[in-house]
Amino acid sequence: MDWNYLYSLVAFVIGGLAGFQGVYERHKKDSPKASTTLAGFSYLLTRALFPSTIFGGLYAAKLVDSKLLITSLACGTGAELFLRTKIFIKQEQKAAGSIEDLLKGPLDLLRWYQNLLLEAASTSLAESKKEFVEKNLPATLGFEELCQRVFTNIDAYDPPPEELKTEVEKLKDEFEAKIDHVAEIAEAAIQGYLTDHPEATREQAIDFASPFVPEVQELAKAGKNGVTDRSKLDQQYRYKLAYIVYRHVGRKGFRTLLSS
Amino acid sequence: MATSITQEAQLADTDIKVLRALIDSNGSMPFLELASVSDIDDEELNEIVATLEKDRLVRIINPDDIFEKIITVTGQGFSAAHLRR
Repeated sequence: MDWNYLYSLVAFVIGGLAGFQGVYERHKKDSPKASTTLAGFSYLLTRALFPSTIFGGLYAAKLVDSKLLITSLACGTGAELFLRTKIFIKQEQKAAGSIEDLLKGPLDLLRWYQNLLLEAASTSLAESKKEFVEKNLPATLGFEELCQRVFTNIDAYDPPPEELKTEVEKLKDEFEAKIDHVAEIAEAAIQGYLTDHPEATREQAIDFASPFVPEVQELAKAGKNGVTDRSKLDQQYRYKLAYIVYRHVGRKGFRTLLSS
Repeated sequence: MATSITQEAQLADTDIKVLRALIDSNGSMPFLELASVSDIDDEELNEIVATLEKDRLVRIINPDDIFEKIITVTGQGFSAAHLRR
Protein backbone atom coordinates (compact mmCIF):
# COMPACT_ATOMS: atom_id res chain seq x y z
CA MET A 1 0.00 0.00 0.00
CA ASP A 2 1.38 3.37 -1.04
CA TRP A 3 0.21 5.86 1.59
CA ASN A 4 0.99 8.77 -0.72
CA TYR A 5 -2.31 8.14 -2.43
CA LEU A 6 -3.92 9.61 0.70
CA TYR A 7 -2.87 13.04 -0.60
CA SER A 8 -5.67 12.65 -3.11
CA LEU A 9 -8.04 13.32 -0.19
CA VAL A 10 -7.18 17.02 -0.48
CA ALA A 11 -8.37 17.07 -4.09
CA PHE A 12 -11.35 14.95 -3.03
CA VAL A 13 -12.40 17.49 -0.41
CA ILE A 14 -11.98 20.45 -2.82
CA GLY A 15 -14.11 18.69 -5.45
CA GLY A 16 -16.70 17.73 -2.84
CA LEU A 17 -16.96 21.28 -1.51
CA ALA A 18 -17.31 22.70 -5.01
CA GLY A 19 -20.06 20.17 -5.64
CA PHE A 20 -21.77 21.08 -2.39
CA GLN A 21 -21.83 24.70 -3.52
CA GLY A 22 -24.05 23.59 -6.43
CA VAL A 23 -26.31 21.67 -4.04
CA TYR A 24 -26.54 24.70 -1.75
CA GLU A 25 -27.46 27.03 -4.61
CA ARG A 26 -30.50 24.87 -5.29
CA HIS A 27 -31.51 23.59 -1.87
CA LYS A 28 -30.28 26.26 0.56
CA LYS A 29 -30.96 25.17 4.18
CA ASP A 30 -32.08 21.71 3.02
CA SER A 31 -28.75 21.03 1.31
CA PRO A 32 -27.66 18.39 3.87
CA LYS A 33 -30.97 16.54 3.33
CA ALA A 34 -30.60 16.77 -0.45
CA SER A 35 -27.03 15.49 -0.19
CA THR A 36 -28.23 12.32 1.50
CA THR A 37 -30.56 11.34 -1.35
CA LEU A 38 -29.11 8.81 -3.79
CA ALA A 39 -28.89 11.38 -6.61
CA GLY A 40 -27.46 14.13 -4.37
CA PHE A 41 -24.88 11.79 -2.86
CA SER A 42 -23.88 10.47 -6.31
CA TYR A 43 -23.41 14.04 -7.51
CA LEU A 44 -21.16 14.96 -4.59
CA LEU A 45 -19.21 11.72 -4.83
CA THR A 46 -18.53 12.06 -8.56
CA ARG A 47 -17.58 15.72 -8.19
CA ALA A 48 -15.15 14.77 -5.40
CA LEU A 49 -13.77 11.76 -7.25
CA PHE A 50 -12.99 13.71 -10.43
CA PRO A 51 -10.00 15.75 -9.12
CA SER A 52 -8.78 13.00 -6.79
CA THR A 53 -8.73 10.55 -9.70
CA ILE A 54 -6.66 13.02 -11.70
CA PHE A 55 -4.19 13.22 -8.82
CA GLY A 56 -4.16 9.43 -8.45
CA GLY A 57 -3.58 9.06 -12.20
CA LEU A 58 -0.71 11.53 -12.24
CA TYR A 59 0.90 9.82 -9.26
CA ALA A 60 0.40 6.30 -10.64
CA ALA A 61 1.92 7.37 -13.96
CA LYS A 62 4.85 8.77 -11.96
CA LEU A 63 4.31 12.22 -13.48
CA VAL A 64 4.51 13.64 -9.96
CA ASP A 65 6.55 12.24 -7.10
CA SER A 66 7.33 15.26 -4.92
CA LYS A 67 5.36 18.15 -3.40
CA LEU A 68 2.33 15.89 -3.36
CA LEU A 69 0.24 18.12 -1.09
CA ILE A 70 0.67 21.07 -3.46
CA THR A 71 -0.03 18.83 -6.44
CA SER A 72 -3.21 17.54 -4.86
CA LEU A 73 -4.32 21.11 -4.11
CA ALA A 74 -3.54 22.08 -7.68
CA CYS A 75 -5.52 19.10 -8.98
CA GLY A 76 -8.54 20.12 -6.90
CA THR A 77 -8.53 23.78 -7.88
CA GLY A 78 -7.33 23.09 -11.45
CA ALA A 79 -10.13 20.61 -12.08
CA GLU A 80 -12.67 23.16 -10.84
CA LEU A 81 -11.16 25.87 -13.03
CA PHE A 82 -11.34 23.56 -16.02
CA LEU A 83 -14.95 22.54 -15.27
CA ARG A 84 -16.04 26.16 -15.04
CA THR A 85 -14.42 27.20 -18.30
CA LYS A 86 -16.21 28.44 -21.41
CA ILE A 87 -14.49 29.07 -24.70
CA PHE A 88 -15.46 31.68 -27.27
CA ILE A 89 -16.62 29.96 -30.46
CA LYS A 90 -18.11 32.72 -32.61
CA GLN A 91 -20.47 35.68 -32.66
CA GLU A 92 -24.09 34.97 -33.56
CA GLN A 93 -26.75 37.32 -34.91
CA LYS A 94 -29.99 36.96 -32.96
CA ALA A 95 -33.50 37.39 -34.38
CA ALA A 96 -33.89 40.72 -32.59
CA GLY A 97 -30.84 42.02 -34.47
CA SER A 98 -28.47 41.91 -31.52
CA ILE A 99 -25.16 40.10 -31.65
CA GLU A 100 -24.26 37.60 -28.96
CA ASP A 101 -21.11 35.62 -28.27
CA LEU A 102 -21.44 31.87 -28.59
CA LEU A 103 -19.52 30.30 -25.71
CA LYS A 104 -19.14 26.58 -25.19
CA GLY A 105 -17.08 24.47 -22.85
CA PRO A 106 -16.92 22.06 -19.94
CA LEU A 107 -19.20 24.38 -17.94
CA ASP A 108 -22.12 23.41 -20.19
CA LEU A 109 -21.46 19.75 -19.49
CA LEU A 110 -21.09 20.43 -15.75
CA ARG A 111 -24.39 22.36 -15.67
CA TRP A 112 -26.17 19.60 -17.54
CA TYR A 113 -24.80 16.97 -15.14
CA GLN A 114 -25.60 19.12 -12.10
CA ASN A 115 -29.15 19.77 -13.26
CA LEU A 116 -29.71 16.11 -14.06
CA LEU A 117 -28.69 14.85 -10.62
CA LEU A 118 -29.96 17.75 -8.52
CA GLU A 119 -33.35 17.62 -10.20
CA ALA A 120 -33.47 13.95 -9.28
CA ALA A 121 -32.49 14.86 -5.69
CA SER A 122 -35.31 17.45 -5.55
CA THR A 123 -37.84 14.96 -6.85
CA SER A 124 -36.64 12.41 -4.36
CA LEU A 125 -37.24 14.86 -1.46
CA ALA A 126 -40.75 15.61 -2.74
CA GLU A 127 -41.46 11.88 -3.08
CA SER A 128 -40.31 11.28 0.45
CA LYS A 129 -42.68 14.02 1.68
CA LYS A 130 -45.57 12.53 -0.31
CA GLU A 131 -44.88 9.07 1.10
CA PHE A 132 -44.77 10.43 4.64
CA VAL A 133 -48.12 12.17 4.16
CA GLU A 134 -49.70 9.05 2.62
CA LYS A 135 -48.47 6.93 5.49
CA ASN A 136 -49.36 9.25 8.35
CA LEU A 137 -52.61 10.87 7.25
CA PRO A 138 -55.43 9.15 9.19
CA ALA A 139 -57.23 7.15 6.50
CA THR A 140 -60.65 7.05 8.14
CA LEU A 141 -61.17 10.78 8.66
CA GLY A 142 -62.68 13.15 6.12
CA PHE A 143 -61.36 16.64 5.39
CA GLU A 144 -63.66 18.46 7.80
CA GLU A 145 -62.90 16.02 10.64
CA LEU A 146 -59.18 16.49 10.00
CA CYS A 147 -59.59 20.29 10.15
CA GLN A 148 -61.39 19.86 13.45
CA ARG A 149 -58.57 17.70 14.74
CA VAL A 150 -56.00 20.33 13.78
CA PHE A 151 -57.98 23.05 15.57
CA THR A 152 -58.26 20.85 18.67
CA ASN A 153 -54.60 19.81 18.79
CA ILE A 154 -53.11 23.16 17.80
CA ASP A 155 -53.33 24.32 21.42
CA ALA A 156 -50.52 21.87 22.17
CA TYR A 157 -48.30 24.64 20.80
CA ASP A 158 -47.46 27.63 22.92
CA PRO A 159 -48.12 29.99 21.23
CA PRO A 160 -50.31 28.25 18.63
CA PRO A 161 -49.05 28.84 15.05
CA GLU A 162 -51.50 31.52 13.92
CA GLU A 163 -50.45 31.40 10.27
CA LEU A 164 -51.26 27.70 10.12
CA LYS A 165 -54.64 28.31 11.73
CA THR A 166 -55.45 31.02 9.18
CA GLU A 167 -54.39 28.85 6.25
CA VAL A 168 -56.48 25.90 7.46
CA GLU A 169 -59.51 28.16 7.92
CA LYS A 170 -59.02 29.54 4.41
CA LEU A 171 -58.74 26.03 2.97
CA LYS A 172 -61.92 25.00 4.81
CA ASP A 173 -63.81 27.97 3.33
CA GLU A 174 -62.53 27.08 -0.14
CA PHE A 175 -63.69 23.47 0.32
CA GLU A 176 -67.16 24.57 1.47
CA ALA A 177 -67.48 26.91 -1.52
CA LYS A 178 -66.60 24.06 -3.87
CA ILE A 179 -69.07 21.73 -2.19
CA ASP A 180 -71.76 24.41 -2.54
CA HIS A 181 -70.89 24.71 -6.21
CA VAL A 182 -71.26 20.95 -6.71
CA ALA A 183 -74.55 21.08 -4.77
CA GLU A 184 -75.80 23.83 -7.12
CA ILE A 185 -74.96 21.69 -10.11
CA ALA A 186 -76.70 18.68 -8.57
CA GLU A 187 -79.78 20.82 -7.82
CA ALA A 188 -79.83 21.99 -11.43
CA ALA A 189 -79.75 18.35 -12.55
CA ILE A 190 -82.58 17.45 -10.13
CA GLN A 191 -84.71 20.33 -11.37
CA GLY A 192 -83.95 19.39 -14.96
CA TYR A 193 -85.05 15.81 -14.31
CA LEU A 194 -88.27 16.96 -12.60
CA THR A 195 -89.09 19.23 -15.55
CA ASP A 196 -88.56 16.39 -18.03
CA HIS A 197 -90.43 13.86 -15.80
CA PRO A 198 -93.27 15.76 -14.07
CA GLU A 199 -94.62 12.52 -12.60
CA ALA A 200 -91.34 11.70 -10.81
CA THR A 201 -90.79 12.34 -7.10
CA ARG A 202 -87.88 14.40 -5.81
CA GLU A 203 -86.36 11.23 -4.32
CA GLN A 204 -86.33 9.63 -7.75
CA ALA A 205 -84.74 12.77 -9.17
CA ILE A 206 -82.09 12.74 -6.43
CA ASP A 207 -81.34 9.09 -7.15
CA PHE A 208 -81.01 10.00 -10.77
CA ALA A 209 -78.92 13.09 -10.19
CA SER A 210 -76.49 11.70 -7.66
CA PRO A 211 -73.01 13.10 -8.31
CA PHE A 212 -72.01 9.98 -10.18
CA VAL A 213 -74.55 10.05 -13.03
CA PRO A 214 -73.25 11.29 -16.39
CA GLU A 215 -75.66 14.23 -16.59
CA VAL A 216 -74.30 15.76 -13.43
CA GLN A 217 -70.77 15.15 -14.59
CA GLU A 218 -71.53 16.90 -17.87
CA LEU A 219 -73.03 19.82 -15.99
CA ALA A 220 -69.95 19.98 -13.85
CA LYS A 221 -67.74 20.07 -16.92
CA ALA A 222 -69.85 22.86 -18.34
CA GLY A 223 -69.32 24.74 -15.09
CA LYS A 224 -65.57 24.10 -15.49
CA ASN A 225 -65.47 22.66 -12.01
CA GLY A 226 -64.05 19.33 -13.06
CA VAL A 227 -64.81 17.69 -9.75
CA THR A 228 -68.18 16.04 -9.36
CA ASP A 229 -67.27 13.25 -7.06
CA ARG A 230 -67.48 14.54 -3.50
CA SER A 231 -65.24 11.82 -2.14
CA LYS A 232 -62.50 12.76 -4.63
CA LEU A 233 -62.83 16.42 -3.67
CA ASP A 234 -62.66 15.43 -0.01
CA GLN A 235 -59.55 13.36 -0.68
CA GLN A 236 -57.86 16.24 -2.53
CA TYR A 237 -58.51 18.62 0.34
CA ARG A 238 -57.31 16.07 2.91
CA TYR A 239 -53.98 16.04 1.11
CA LYS A 240 -53.86 19.82 0.72
CA LEU A 241 -54.46 20.16 4.46
CA ALA A 242 -51.76 17.59 5.17
CA TYR A 243 -49.20 19.48 3.08
CA ILE A 244 -50.07 22.78 4.76
CA VAL A 245 -49.59 21.19 8.20
CA TYR A 246 -46.34 19.55 7.07
CA ARG A 247 -44.98 22.84 5.74
CA HIS A 248 -45.68 24.70 8.97
CA VAL A 249 -44.75 22.20 11.65
CA GLY A 250 -42.67 19.47 9.98
CA ARG A 251 -42.92 15.71 10.49
CA LYS A 252 -43.02 15.70 14.28
CA GLY A 253 -45.66 18.43 14.41
CA PHE A 254 -47.64 16.66 11.70
CA ARG A 255 -48.01 13.63 13.95
CA THR A 256 -48.91 15.85 16.92
CA LEU A 257 -51.59 17.75 15.05
CA LEU A 258 -53.15 14.97 13.06
CA SER A 259 -52.85 11.95 15.31
CA SER A 260 -55.69 11.17 17.73
CA MET B 1 -29.02 25.84 -22.03
CA ALA B 2 -29.57 29.31 -20.58
CA THR B 3 -33.03 30.79 -20.73
CA SER B 4 -33.33 33.45 -23.39
CA ILE B 5 -34.55 36.93 -22.56
CA THR B 6 -37.43 36.39 -25.01
CA GLN B 7 -38.62 33.27 -23.20
CA GLU B 8 -38.34 35.00 -19.84
CA ALA B 9 -40.35 37.97 -21.10
CA GLN B 10 -43.15 35.65 -22.22
CA LEU B 11 -43.66 34.19 -18.77
CA ALA B 12 -46.79 35.35 -17.01
CA ASP B 13 -46.74 36.44 -13.37
CA THR B 14 -48.58 33.26 -12.39
CA ASP B 15 -45.88 31.17 -14.13
CA ILE B 16 -43.20 32.97 -12.14
CA LYS B 17 -45.24 32.55 -8.96
CA VAL B 18 -45.40 28.79 -9.55
CA LEU B 19 -41.69 28.55 -10.34
CA ARG B 20 -40.77 30.50 -7.21
CA ALA B 21 -43.03 28.40 -5.03
CA LEU B 22 -41.22 25.32 -6.35
CA ILE B 23 -37.79 26.87 -5.86
CA ASP B 24 -38.66 27.80 -2.27
CA SER B 25 -39.48 24.17 -1.60
CA ASN B 26 -36.29 22.43 -2.71
CA GLY B 27 -37.23 22.79 -6.37
CA SER B 28 -39.90 20.11 -6.24
CA MET B 29 -43.36 19.56 -4.76
CA PRO B 30 -46.29 17.18 -4.97
CA PHE B 31 -48.97 18.83 -7.14
CA LEU B 32 -51.47 19.13 -4.29
CA GLU B 33 -48.90 20.85 -2.10
CA LEU B 34 -48.20 23.30 -4.91
CA ALA B 35 -51.96 23.87 -5.20
CA SER B 36 -52.16 24.60 -1.48
CA VAL B 37 -49.35 27.19 -1.51
CA SER B 38 -49.97 28.92 -4.82
CA ASP B 39 -53.54 30.13 -4.28
CA ILE B 40 -54.38 29.19 -7.86
CA ASP B 41 -57.37 27.03 -8.77
CA ASP B 42 -56.39 23.39 -9.39
CA GLU B 43 -57.49 23.40 -13.02
CA GLU B 44 -55.71 26.64 -13.84
CA LEU B 45 -52.62 25.36 -12.04
CA ASN B 46 -52.78 22.18 -14.11
CA GLU B 47 -52.74 24.25 -17.29
CA ILE B 48 -49.90 26.47 -16.04
CA VAL B 49 -47.80 23.46 -15.13
CA ALA B 50 -48.49 21.82 -18.51
CA THR B 51 -47.36 24.99 -20.31
CA LEU B 52 -44.24 25.24 -18.15
CA GLU B 53 -43.44 21.63 -18.96
CA LYS B 54 -43.83 22.35 -22.67
CA ASP B 55 -41.30 25.18 -22.25
CA ARG B 56 -39.02 22.75 -20.37
CA LEU B 57 -39.11 24.88 -17.24
CA VAL B 58 -40.53 22.07 -15.10
CA ARG B 59 -40.66 18.28 -15.26
CA ILE B 60 -43.78 16.35 -14.28
CA ILE B 61 -43.76 12.88 -12.77
CA ASN B 62 -46.96 10.77 -12.76
CA PRO B 63 -48.91 13.40 -14.74
CA ASP B 64 -52.17 11.44 -14.79
CA ASP B 65 -52.67 10.99 -11.05
CA ILE B 66 -53.30 14.17 -9.09
CA PHE B 67 -52.31 12.46 -5.80
CA GLU B 68 -49.04 11.09 -7.19
CA LYS B 69 -48.10 13.95 -9.47
CA ILE B 70 -44.79 15.66 -8.63
CA ILE B 71 -43.54 18.87 -10.24
CA THR B 72 -39.80 19.60 -10.36
CA VAL B 73 -38.28 22.83 -11.61
CA THR B 74 -35.49 22.37 -14.18
CA GLY B 75 -32.23 24.31 -14.48
CA GLN B 76 -33.90 26.48 -17.12
CA GLY B 77 -36.80 27.09 -14.75
CA PHE B 78 -34.35 28.27 -12.09
CA SER B 79 -32.75 30.71 -14.52
CA ALA B 80 -36.13 32.04 -15.69
CA ALA B 81 -37.34 32.68 -12.14
CA HIS B 82 -34.09 34.36 -11.12
CA LEU B 83 -34.06 36.63 -14.17
CA ARG B 84 -37.36 38.09 -12.98
CA ARG B 85 -36.18 38.81 -9.44
